[in-house]
Amino acid sequence: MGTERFYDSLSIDKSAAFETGFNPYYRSVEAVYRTGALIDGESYIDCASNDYLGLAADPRVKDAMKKAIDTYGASLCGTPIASGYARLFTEIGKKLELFTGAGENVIFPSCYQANCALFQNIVGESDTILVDHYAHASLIQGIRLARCKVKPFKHNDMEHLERLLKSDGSTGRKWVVTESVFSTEGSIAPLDRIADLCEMYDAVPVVDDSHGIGVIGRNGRGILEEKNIRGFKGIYTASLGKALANAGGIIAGDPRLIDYMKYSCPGLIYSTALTPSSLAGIGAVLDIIEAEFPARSLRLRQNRAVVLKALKEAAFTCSDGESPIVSVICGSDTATFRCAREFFNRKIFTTAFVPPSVPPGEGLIRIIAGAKLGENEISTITAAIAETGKEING
Amino acid sequence: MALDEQVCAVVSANLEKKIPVGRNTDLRKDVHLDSFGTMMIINGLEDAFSISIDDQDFRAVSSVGDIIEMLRTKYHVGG
Repeated sequence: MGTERFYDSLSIDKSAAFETGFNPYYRSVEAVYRTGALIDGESYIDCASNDYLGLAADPRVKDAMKKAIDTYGASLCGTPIASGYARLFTEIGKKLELFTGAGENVIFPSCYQANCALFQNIVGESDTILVDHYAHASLIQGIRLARCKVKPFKHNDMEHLERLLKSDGSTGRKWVVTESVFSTEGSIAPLDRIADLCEMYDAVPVVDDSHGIGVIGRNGRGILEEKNIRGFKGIYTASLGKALANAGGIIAGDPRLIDYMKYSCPGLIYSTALTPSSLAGIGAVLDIIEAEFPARSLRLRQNRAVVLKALKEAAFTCSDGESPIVSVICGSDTATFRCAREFFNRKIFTTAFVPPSVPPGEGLIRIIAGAKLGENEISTITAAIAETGKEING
Repeated sequence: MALDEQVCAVVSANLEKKIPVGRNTDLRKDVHLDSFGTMMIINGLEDAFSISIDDQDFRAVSSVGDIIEMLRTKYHVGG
Protein backbone atom coordinates (compact mmCIF):
# COMPACT_ATOMS: atom_id res chain seq x y z
CA MET A 1 0.00 0.00 0.00
CA GLY A 2 1.43 3.39 -0.98
CA THR A 3 2.12 6.01 1.64
CA GLU A 4 -0.68 8.28 0.42
CA ARG A 5 -3.18 5.44 0.49
CA PHE A 6 -2.03 4.60 4.00
CA TYR A 7 -2.67 8.14 5.27
CA ASP A 8 -5.98 8.24 3.38
CA SER A 9 -7.03 5.06 5.17
CA LEU A 10 -6.76 6.73 8.58
CA SER A 11 -10.20 8.20 9.12
CA ILE A 12 -12.34 9.17 12.09
CA ASP A 13 -16.11 9.23 11.88
CA LYS A 14 -16.98 12.87 12.56
CA SER A 15 -20.52 12.63 11.19
CA ALA A 16 -22.11 13.41 14.58
CA ALA A 17 -20.07 16.62 14.76
CA PHE A 18 -21.15 17.58 11.22
CA GLU A 19 -24.81 16.78 11.87
CA THR A 20 -24.94 18.80 15.08
CA GLY A 21 -22.52 21.54 14.05
CA PHE A 22 -20.61 20.90 17.26
CA ASN A 23 -17.44 19.02 18.12
CA PRO A 24 -17.17 18.61 21.92
CA TYR A 25 -13.55 17.48 21.73
CA TYR A 26 -10.31 19.44 21.82
CA ARG A 27 -11.97 22.63 23.02
CA SER A 28 -9.15 25.04 23.65
CA VAL A 29 -8.86 25.97 27.33
CA GLU A 30 -7.04 29.29 27.58
CA ALA A 31 -7.15 29.83 31.32
CA VAL A 32 -8.54 28.24 34.47
CA TYR A 33 -9.89 30.18 37.41
CA ARG A 34 -11.59 29.27 40.63
CA THR A 35 -14.92 28.10 39.28
CA GLY A 36 -14.42 27.68 35.61
CA ALA A 37 -12.43 27.99 32.47
CA LEU A 38 -11.90 30.38 29.59
CA ILE A 39 -12.62 28.52 26.37
CA ASP A 40 -12.49 30.17 22.95
CA GLY A 41 -12.43 33.52 24.73
CA GLU A 42 -15.56 32.90 26.81
CA SER A 43 -16.17 31.84 30.41
CA TYR A 44 -17.62 28.42 31.13
CA ILE A 45 -18.58 26.66 34.31
CA ASP A 46 -16.37 23.61 34.37
CA CYS A 47 -18.26 20.36 34.84
CA ALA A 48 -15.87 18.41 32.63
CA SER A 49 -12.67 18.49 34.66
CA ASN A 50 -11.88 15.72 37.14
CA ASP A 51 -10.72 18.35 39.65
CA TYR A 52 -13.24 16.99 42.16
CA LEU A 53 -12.05 18.94 45.19
CA GLY A 54 -11.26 22.17 43.33
CA LEU A 55 -7.57 22.16 44.18
CA ALA A 56 -5.87 22.40 40.78
CA ALA A 57 -5.89 26.21 40.90
CA ASP A 58 -5.44 26.52 44.69
CA PRO A 59 -2.72 29.09 45.53
CA ARG A 60 -1.09 26.72 48.02
CA VAL A 61 -0.71 24.06 45.34
CA LYS A 62 0.60 26.53 42.80
CA ASP A 63 3.11 27.94 45.32
CA ALA A 64 4.44 24.48 46.14
CA MET A 65 4.91 23.80 42.45
CA LYS A 66 6.63 27.11 41.82
CA LYS A 67 9.07 26.45 44.69
CA ALA A 68 9.87 23.05 43.22
CA ILE A 69 10.52 24.62 39.83
CA ASP A 70 12.94 27.04 41.50
CA THR A 71 14.76 24.09 43.08
CA TYR A 72 14.68 21.52 40.31
CA GLY A 73 13.88 23.40 37.13
CA ALA A 74 11.13 22.47 34.67
CA SER A 75 12.04 18.78 34.50
CA LEU A 76 14.86 16.45 35.47
CA CYS A 77 14.80 15.31 31.84
CA GLY A 78 15.54 11.73 32.61
CA THR A 79 14.06 8.41 33.57
CA PRO A 80 13.63 7.86 37.31
CA ILE A 81 16.05 4.94 37.18
CA ALA A 82 18.80 7.26 36.02
CA SER A 83 18.79 11.04 36.45
CA GLY A 84 15.08 11.62 36.99
CA TYR A 85 14.61 10.46 40.59
CA ALA A 86 14.15 13.52 42.82
CA ARG A 87 14.03 13.18 46.63
CA LEU A 88 10.39 14.17 46.25
CA PHE A 89 9.63 10.75 44.75
CA THR A 90 10.51 9.12 48.07
CA GLU A 91 8.73 11.78 50.11
CA ILE A 92 5.51 11.89 48.10
CA GLY A 93 5.58 8.14 47.58
CA LYS A 94 5.56 7.69 51.35
CA LYS A 95 2.71 10.18 51.74
CA LEU A 96 0.69 8.31 49.12
CA GLU A 97 1.43 5.00 50.79
CA LEU A 98 0.09 6.24 54.11
CA PHE A 99 -2.83 8.01 52.46
CA THR A 100 -4.12 5.13 50.33
CA GLY A 101 -3.22 2.18 52.57
CA ALA A 102 -2.25 0.37 49.37
CA GLY A 103 1.39 -0.32 50.21
CA GLU A 104 4.62 0.89 48.66
CA ASN A 105 4.34 2.49 45.28
CA VAL A 106 6.09 3.60 42.14
CA ILE A 107 5.10 6.81 40.39
CA PHE A 108 4.56 7.00 36.63
CA PRO A 109 4.03 10.05 34.38
CA SER A 110 0.36 9.03 34.06
CA CYS A 111 -2.01 6.32 35.21
CA TYR A 112 -2.75 5.40 31.59
CA GLN A 113 0.97 4.66 31.24
CA ALA A 114 1.00 2.76 34.54
CA ASN A 115 -1.98 0.60 33.55
CA CYS A 116 -0.53 -0.12 30.11
CA ALA A 117 2.86 -0.97 31.59
CA LEU A 118 1.65 -3.11 34.48
CA PHE A 119 0.12 -6.14 32.83
CA GLN A 120 2.67 -6.69 30.09
CA ASN A 121 5.37 -6.68 32.74
CA ILE A 122 3.93 -9.21 35.16
CA VAL A 123 1.22 -11.29 33.43
CA GLY A 124 2.19 -14.56 31.73
CA GLU A 125 0.70 -15.91 28.52
CA SER A 126 -0.89 -18.83 30.34
CA ASP A 127 -2.58 -16.53 32.87
CA THR A 128 -6.23 -15.48 32.80
CA ILE A 129 -7.43 -11.95 33.40
CA LEU A 130 -11.03 -11.55 34.53
CA VAL A 131 -12.04 -7.94 34.07
CA ASP A 132 -15.17 -5.88 34.67
CA HIS A 133 -17.05 -5.20 31.42
CA TYR A 134 -16.92 -1.45 31.99
CA ALA A 135 -13.26 -1.20 32.95
CA HIS A 136 -11.42 1.91 31.79
CA ALA A 137 -9.78 2.01 28.37
CA SER A 138 -6.32 2.22 29.96
CA LEU A 139 -6.89 -1.09 31.76
CA ILE A 140 -8.24 -2.64 28.55
CA GLN A 141 -5.21 -1.49 26.56
CA GLY A 142 -2.89 -2.79 29.27
CA ILE A 143 -4.70 -6.12 29.38
CA ARG A 144 -4.50 -6.49 25.59
CA LEU A 145 -0.74 -6.04 25.80
CA ALA A 146 -0.52 -8.98 28.20
CA ARG A 147 -1.52 -11.47 25.45
CA CYS A 148 -3.23 -13.88 27.82
CA LYS A 149 -6.78 -15.24 28.02
CA VAL A 150 -9.24 -12.47 28.90
CA LYS A 151 -12.63 -13.14 30.45
CA PRO A 152 -14.79 -10.06 31.00
CA PHE A 153 -17.47 -10.33 33.68
CA LYS A 154 -20.76 -8.45 33.78
CA HIS A 155 -20.46 -5.07 35.41
CA ASN A 156 -20.12 -5.40 39.21
CA ASP A 157 -21.77 -8.83 38.95
CA MET A 158 -20.13 -10.90 41.66
CA GLU A 159 -22.16 -14.04 40.83
CA HIS A 160 -20.88 -13.94 37.26
CA LEU A 161 -17.34 -13.32 38.48
CA GLU A 162 -17.52 -16.24 40.88
CA ARG A 163 -18.89 -18.55 38.15
CA LEU A 164 -15.98 -17.61 35.92
CA LEU A 165 -13.42 -18.06 38.71
CA LYS A 166 -14.88 -21.42 39.64
CA SER A 167 -14.95 -22.73 36.08
CA ASP A 168 -11.56 -21.41 35.00
CA GLY A 169 -9.31 -24.33 34.26
CA SER A 170 -6.25 -22.44 33.10
CA THR A 171 -2.85 -23.43 34.45
CA GLY A 172 -1.54 -19.92 34.95
CA ARG A 173 -2.32 -17.23 37.47
CA LYS A 174 -5.73 -15.60 37.70
CA TRP A 175 -6.14 -11.82 37.93
CA VAL A 176 -9.34 -9.91 38.67
CA VAL A 177 -9.29 -6.36 37.36
CA THR A 178 -11.71 -3.55 38.09
CA GLU A 179 -12.06 0.16 38.64
CA SER A 180 -13.12 1.46 42.03
CA VAL A 181 -15.37 4.22 40.72
CA PHE A 182 -16.43 3.65 37.14
CA SER A 183 -15.56 6.76 35.22
CA THR A 184 -18.55 6.91 32.86
CA GLU A 185 -21.45 6.16 35.18
CA GLY A 186 -20.11 6.55 38.70
CA SER A 187 -20.94 3.17 40.23
CA ILE A 188 -18.56 1.80 42.87
CA ALA A 189 -17.05 -1.67 42.67
CA PRO A 190 -17.69 -4.09 45.56
CA LEU A 191 -13.94 -4.42 46.05
CA ASP A 192 -14.37 -6.07 49.44
CA ARG A 193 -16.32 -8.89 47.81
CA ILE A 194 -13.84 -9.05 44.93
CA ALA A 195 -10.96 -9.33 47.41
CA ASP A 196 -12.80 -12.16 49.22
CA LEU A 197 -13.40 -14.02 45.95
CA CYS A 198 -9.76 -13.61 44.99
CA GLU A 199 -8.72 -15.05 48.35
CA MET A 200 -11.10 -17.98 47.84
CA TYR A 201 -10.03 -18.76 44.29
CA ASP A 202 -6.34 -17.84 44.55
CA ALA A 203 -6.54 -14.84 42.23
CA VAL A 204 -4.79 -11.47 42.43
CA PRO A 205 -7.10 -8.43 42.57
CA VAL A 206 -6.11 -5.30 40.63
CA VAL A 207 -8.02 -2.07 41.19
CA ASP A 208 -7.74 1.28 39.45
CA ASP A 209 -8.79 3.90 42.02
CA SER A 210 -8.39 6.92 39.73
CA HIS A 211 -11.86 8.32 40.39
CA GLY A 212 -11.85 7.15 44.00
CA ILE A 213 -8.62 8.54 45.46
CA GLY A 214 -9.37 11.88 47.10
CA VAL A 215 -13.10 11.35 46.50
CA ILE A 216 -14.51 8.36 48.37
CA GLY A 217 -13.81 7.03 51.83
CA ARG A 218 -14.53 8.88 55.04
CA ASN A 219 -11.28 10.84 54.74
CA GLY A 220 -10.98 10.76 50.96
CA ARG A 221 -8.44 7.98 51.01
CA GLY A 222 -10.12 6.04 48.25
CA ILE A 223 -11.60 2.61 47.76
CA LEU A 224 -9.67 0.75 50.44
CA GLU A 225 -10.96 3.15 53.07
CA GLU A 226 -14.44 3.21 51.53
CA LYS A 227 -14.72 -0.57 51.73
CA ASN A 228 -12.77 -0.86 54.99
CA ILE A 229 -10.14 -3.12 53.43
CA ARG A 230 -6.98 -3.58 55.51
CA GLY A 231 -3.91 -5.44 54.36
CA PHE A 232 -4.90 -5.39 50.70
CA LYS A 233 -2.96 -8.14 48.97
CA GLY A 234 -3.59 -7.01 45.44
CA ILE A 235 -2.30 -4.34 43.10
CA TYR A 236 -3.56 -0.77 43.26
CA THR A 237 -3.28 1.88 40.60
CA ALA A 238 -4.55 5.43 40.62
CA SER A 239 -4.34 8.66 38.71
CA LEU A 240 -2.78 11.66 40.44
CA GLY A 241 -4.45 13.89 37.86
CA LYS A 242 -8.03 13.89 39.12
CA ALA A 243 -8.90 14.70 42.74
CA LEU A 244 -5.18 14.96 43.45
CA ALA A 245 -5.23 17.79 40.93
CA ASN A 246 -2.01 17.23 39.09
CA ALA A 247 -0.52 14.60 36.78
CA GLY A 248 0.98 11.19 37.18
CA GLY A 249 -0.16 7.76 38.25
CA ILE A 250 0.86 5.16 40.79
CA ILE A 251 1.14 1.42 40.99
CA ALA A 252 1.09 0.28 44.61
CA GLY A 253 1.31 -3.05 46.36
CA ASP A 254 3.72 -5.57 47.78
CA PRO A 255 7.30 -4.22 48.14
CA ARG A 256 8.59 -7.08 46.00
CA LEU A 257 6.25 -6.02 43.17
CA ILE A 258 7.30 -2.38 43.44
CA ASP A 259 11.01 -3.19 43.46
CA TYR A 260 10.49 -5.46 40.45
CA MET A 261 8.61 -2.75 38.56
CA LYS A 262 11.23 -0.12 39.38
CA TYR A 263 13.97 -2.14 37.75
CA SER A 264 12.20 -4.07 35.01
CA CYS A 265 9.18 -2.14 33.75
CA PRO A 266 9.87 -0.63 30.31
CA GLY A 267 6.91 1.74 30.67
CA LEU A 268 8.72 3.30 33.64
CA ILE A 269 12.41 3.02 32.97
CA TYR A 270 12.33 4.13 29.35
CA SER A 271 10.18 7.20 30.04
CA THR A 272 11.01 10.65 31.34
CA ALA A 273 10.04 10.92 35.00
CA LEU A 274 7.12 12.94 36.29
CA THR A 275 8.37 16.45 37.04
CA PRO A 276 9.36 17.43 40.59
CA SER A 277 6.91 20.33 40.45
CA SER A 278 4.05 17.87 39.92
CA LEU A 279 5.23 15.85 42.90
CA ALA A 280 5.35 18.99 45.03
CA GLY A 281 1.83 19.91 43.94
CA ILE A 282 0.56 16.44 44.85
CA GLY A 283 2.18 16.78 48.27
CA ALA A 284 0.41 20.09 48.84
CA VAL A 285 -2.92 18.59 47.78
CA LEU A 286 -2.52 15.67 50.18
CA ASP A 287 -1.90 18.13 53.03
CA ILE A 288 -5.03 20.09 52.09
CA ILE A 289 -7.12 16.92 51.87
CA GLU A 290 -5.99 15.91 55.38
CA ALA A 291 -7.16 19.26 56.71
CA GLU A 292 -10.15 20.11 54.55
CA PHE A 293 -11.67 16.95 53.11
CA PRO A 294 -14.88 16.88 55.17
CA ALA A 295 -15.98 20.36 54.02
CA ARG A 296 -14.94 19.83 50.38
CA SER A 297 -16.51 16.40 50.23
CA LEU A 298 -19.75 17.75 51.65
CA ARG A 299 -19.90 20.47 48.99
CA LEU A 300 -19.11 17.90 46.28
CA ARG A 301 -21.94 15.65 47.42
CA GLN A 302 -24.36 18.50 47.88
CA ASN A 303 -23.57 19.79 44.38
CA ARG A 304 -24.12 16.34 42.95
CA ALA A 305 -27.47 15.97 44.70
CA VAL A 306 -28.74 19.32 43.40
CA VAL A 307 -27.57 18.66 39.84
CA LEU A 308 -29.05 15.17 39.80
CA LYS A 309 -32.40 16.46 41.06
CA ALA A 310 -32.44 19.15 38.39
CA LEU A 311 -31.63 16.63 35.67
CA LYS A 312 -34.42 14.29 36.74
CA GLU A 313 -36.89 17.18 36.93
CA ALA A 314 -35.89 18.10 33.38
CA ALA A 315 -36.76 14.54 32.28
CA PHE A 316 -33.21 13.40 31.61
CA THR A 317 -32.32 9.75 32.15
CA CYS A 318 -29.35 9.64 34.50
CA SER A 319 -26.83 7.09 35.71
CA ASP A 320 -27.45 5.51 39.04
CA GLY A 321 -23.99 5.50 40.64
CA GLU A 322 -23.05 6.36 44.22
CA SER A 323 -20.06 8.57 43.44
CA PRO A 324 -20.01 12.30 42.59
CA ILE A 325 -20.17 11.46 38.87
CA VAL A 326 -23.54 12.17 37.24
CA SER A 327 -24.12 11.03 33.69
CA VAL A 328 -26.94 11.92 31.33
CA ILE A 329 -27.76 8.97 29.12
CA CYS A 330 -28.21 10.23 25.56
CA GLY A 331 -27.96 7.19 23.25
CA SER A 332 -26.71 7.83 19.73
CA ASP A 333 -23.57 9.81 18.97
CA THR A 334 -25.71 12.57 17.43
CA ALA A 335 -27.98 12.76 20.48
CA THR A 336 -24.93 12.89 22.73
CA PHE A 337 -23.26 15.68 20.78
CA ARG A 338 -26.55 17.59 20.61
CA CYS A 339 -26.92 17.43 24.38
CA ALA A 340 -23.30 18.50 24.89
CA ARG A 341 -23.87 21.38 22.46
CA GLU A 342 -26.94 22.61 24.33
CA PHE A 343 -25.07 22.64 27.63
CA PHE A 344 -22.06 24.29 25.97
CA ASN A 345 -24.25 26.99 24.42
CA ARG A 346 -25.44 27.73 27.96
CA LYS A 347 -21.84 27.98 29.15
CA ILE A 348 -21.68 24.62 30.90
CA PHE A 349 -18.65 22.57 29.88
CA THR A 350 -19.31 18.82 30.10
CA THR A 351 -17.65 15.64 28.79
CA ALA A 352 -19.29 13.71 25.96
CA PHE A 353 -18.69 9.96 25.83
CA VAL A 354 -19.32 8.05 22.58
CA PRO A 355 -17.93 4.69 21.38
CA PRO A 356 -15.42 3.26 21.94
CA SER A 357 -15.47 4.85 25.42
CA VAL A 358 -19.01 3.48 25.90
CA PRO A 359 -20.91 0.66 24.12
CA PRO A 360 -22.48 1.56 20.75
CA GLY A 361 -25.71 3.49 21.15
CA GLU A 362 -25.02 4.29 24.81
CA GLY A 363 -23.47 7.72 24.52
CA LEU A 364 -23.65 9.95 27.57
CA ILE A 365 -22.70 13.33 28.97
CA ARG A 366 -20.76 13.27 32.22
CA ILE A 367 -21.18 16.10 34.70
CA ILE A 368 -18.85 16.51 37.67
CA ALA A 369 -20.05 19.42 39.80
CA GLY A 370 -16.81 19.77 41.73
CA ALA A 371 -16.33 21.24 45.16
CA LYS A 372 -15.03 24.49 43.68
CA LEU A 373 -18.53 25.34 42.42
CA GLY A 374 -20.51 27.52 44.81
CA GLU A 375 -24.20 28.38 45.01
CA ASN A 376 -24.08 30.86 42.12
CA GLU A 377 -22.49 28.35 39.78
CA ILE A 378 -24.87 25.56 40.81
CA SER A 379 -27.80 27.89 40.27
CA THR A 380 -26.56 28.66 36.75
CA ILE A 381 -26.13 24.95 36.08
CA THR A 382 -29.65 24.05 37.23
CA ALA A 383 -31.13 26.84 35.09
CA ALA A 384 -29.15 25.56 32.11
CA ILE A 385 -30.37 22.02 32.81
CA ALA A 386 -33.99 23.18 32.87
CA GLU A 387 -33.62 25.03 29.55
CA THR A 388 -31.68 22.21 27.92
CA GLY A 389 -34.30 19.76 29.13
CA LYS A 390 -37.06 21.77 27.42
CA GLU A 391 -35.00 21.95 24.23
CA ILE A 392 -34.17 18.25 24.11
CA ASN A 393 -36.92 16.46 26.01
CA GLY A 394 -39.79 18.80 25.14
CA MET B 1 -32.39 -28.21 24.69
CA ALA B 2 -32.41 -27.26 21.02
CA LEU B 3 -29.44 -25.32 19.68
CA ASP B 4 -31.52 -22.16 19.18
CA GLU B 5 -32.63 -22.19 22.79
CA GLN B 6 -29.17 -22.90 24.10
CA VAL B 7 -27.59 -20.08 22.11
CA CYS B 8 -30.31 -17.62 23.17
CA ALA B 9 -29.76 -18.66 26.78
CA VAL B 10 -26.01 -18.11 26.55
CA VAL B 11 -26.42 -14.72 24.87
CA SER B 12 -29.05 -13.65 27.40
CA ALA B 13 -26.90 -14.77 30.36
CA ASN B 14 -24.03 -12.59 29.14
CA LEU B 15 -25.92 -9.36 28.54
CA GLU B 16 -25.85 -6.43 30.96
CA LYS B 17 -29.52 -5.67 30.37
CA LYS B 18 -32.46 -8.04 30.53
CA ILE B 19 -33.98 -8.00 27.05
CA PRO B 20 -35.83 -10.71 25.10
CA VAL B 21 -33.37 -12.61 22.93
CA GLY B 22 -34.35 -14.51 19.79
CA ARG B 23 -32.91 -15.43 16.41
CA ASN B 24 -33.66 -11.96 15.06
CA THR B 25 -31.97 -10.08 17.89
CA ASP B 26 -29.49 -7.70 16.30
CA LEU B 27 -26.24 -7.69 18.24
CA ARG B 28 -25.47 -4.07 17.44
CA LYS B 29 -28.86 -2.34 17.28
CA ASP B 30 -30.72 -4.31 19.96
CA VAL B 31 -27.87 -5.31 22.26
CA HIS B 32 -25.30 -2.51 21.69
CA LEU B 33 -22.53 -5.09 21.76
CA ASP B 34 -19.04 -3.75 22.38
CA SER B 35 -15.74 -5.67 22.24
CA PHE B 36 -15.94 -6.96 25.81
CA GLY B 37 -19.60 -7.84 25.37
CA THR B 38 -18.63 -9.86 22.32
CA MET B 39 -15.91 -11.57 24.30
CA MET B 40 -18.36 -12.51 27.07
CA ILE B 41 -20.67 -14.15 24.54
CA ILE B 42 -17.82 -15.96 22.79
CA ASN B 43 -16.48 -17.23 26.12
CA GLY B 44 -19.99 -18.29 27.14
CA LEU B 45 -20.49 -20.21 23.88
CA GLU B 46 -17.09 -21.86 24.20
CA ASP B 47 -17.93 -23.04 27.73
CA ALA B 48 -21.44 -24.15 26.80
CA PHE B 49 -20.40 -26.19 23.76
CA SER B 50 -16.81 -27.11 24.72
CA ILE B 51 -15.40 -25.56 21.58
CA SER B 52 -12.83 -22.92 20.77
CA ILE B 53 -14.20 -20.11 18.59
CA ASP B 54 -12.00 -18.15 16.23
CA ASP B 55 -12.60 -14.42 16.79
CA GLN B 56 -12.47 -13.91 13.02
CA ASP B 57 -15.56 -16.12 12.59
CA PHE B 58 -17.49 -13.88 14.96
CA ARG B 59 -16.72 -10.72 13.01
CA ALA B 60 -19.21 -11.64 10.29
CA VAL B 61 -21.97 -12.25 12.82
CA SER B 62 -24.62 -9.56 13.26
CA SER B 63 -27.57 -11.40 14.80
CA VAL B 64 -28.25 -14.28 17.17
CA GLY B 65 -29.46 -16.24 14.12
CA ASP B 66 -26.04 -15.72 12.55
CA ILE B 67 -24.40 -17.15 15.69
CA ILE B 68 -26.62 -20.23 15.47
CA GLU B 69 -25.76 -20.79 11.81
CA MET B 70 -22.07 -20.21 12.45
CA LEU B 71 -22.05 -22.82 15.21
CA ARG B 72 -23.95 -25.28 13.04
CA THR B 73 -21.92 -24.90 9.87
CA LYS B 74 -18.42 -24.05 11.06
CA TYR B 75 -18.31 -25.80 14.44
CA HIS B 76 -20.76 -28.66 13.76
CA VAL B 77 -22.70 -27.96 16.91
CA GLY B 78 -26.27 -29.13 17.22
CA GLY B 79 -26.14 -31.63 14.35
